[in-house]
Amino acid sequence: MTHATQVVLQVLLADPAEEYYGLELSAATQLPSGTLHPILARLESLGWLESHWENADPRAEGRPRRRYYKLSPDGIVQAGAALARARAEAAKLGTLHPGLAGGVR
Amino acid sequence: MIGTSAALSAEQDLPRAVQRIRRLTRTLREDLVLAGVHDHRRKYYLGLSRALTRNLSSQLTVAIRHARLEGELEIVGELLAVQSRISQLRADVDVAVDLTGHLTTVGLTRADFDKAAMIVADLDLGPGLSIKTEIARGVALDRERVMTQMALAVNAAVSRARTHADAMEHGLNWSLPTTGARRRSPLFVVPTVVATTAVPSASRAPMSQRLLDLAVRALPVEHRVRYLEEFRGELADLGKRRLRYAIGVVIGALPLRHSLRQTWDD
Repeated sequence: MTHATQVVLQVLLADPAEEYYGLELSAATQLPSGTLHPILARLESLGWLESHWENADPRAEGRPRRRYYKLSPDGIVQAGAALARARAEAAKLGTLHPGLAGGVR
Repeated sequence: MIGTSAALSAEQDLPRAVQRIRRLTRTLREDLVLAGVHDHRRKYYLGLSRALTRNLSSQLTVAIRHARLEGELEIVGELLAVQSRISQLRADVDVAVDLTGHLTTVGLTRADFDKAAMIVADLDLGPGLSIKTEIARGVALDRERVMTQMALAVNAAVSRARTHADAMEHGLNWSLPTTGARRRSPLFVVPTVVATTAVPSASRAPMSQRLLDLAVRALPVEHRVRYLEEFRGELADLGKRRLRYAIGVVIGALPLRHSLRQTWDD
């Protein structure tokens, strides 16, 4: 799992009930839209994310509708487990190679 | 190629780039006609379509990397819009992208067919065949079906690209400046389904809108309407950063296309 995907999942897991649209997620994760949307598409295809159009009239709002994303019930479980695995792997690497550059054990 | 400083190099570099792309696409079109019949040219036009896409993408990357000011970005955007306005190029890029997707889906090379045919010919196809031989025989026997599927896919891609090019031509004629005066579309016309969606902010950021349209054309057809509206919804909330956002979406279009066509095994 890429670092960018982990960042997206961390933000979504911070409050699983919260819904975000693309720009909000982009601001929260500091990821550009060109990076963010492919990640959202993959997570959605996996069933980890649910998305829906906002319930608003574009004419009344004066802008096109937003697409909101949030973690699905299955996504909450899977994302939590995936992040835990990623952290464990990172910790393991740190243990195995405490001094990569200097070769110190 | 669109140069590092769009304002300085556009006059010299853009015509050369357009000329090269036109030459490539002319050959590509000829090959597409043959594609439904002759397998031996498949690798060639697959490589050509990839080269075409890579060419466009590298131009964009170079231009973005060196355009630091909003004004420069706008010039880059204009160049991209002009480039996308060349009708033959537009249609052929669509065909090239779609075709690459189809060929990837089919996933079999000429070498596969030949190898399979050779194995089947050399072996005694009696009982106790190995799994590999069974697969090879299956591939060899299935060749006609696969080729028919490819021919149908190519025909569908060409037909869809033509329709799309017509719609784009109509939309761009409205939204691009003509004879010195800027004409803006009251409604952005691309696929007919999109045209039913009102876009109140269209007149405020026409360049950004055109770039978003350019970006969604790289996506699989079934996802274009959704993402066009989604990107426009986000664009409407931005102020001066609209153009930068739209260019970011263009850059991310191919990765997004890849994500939409792939299942994730991570």
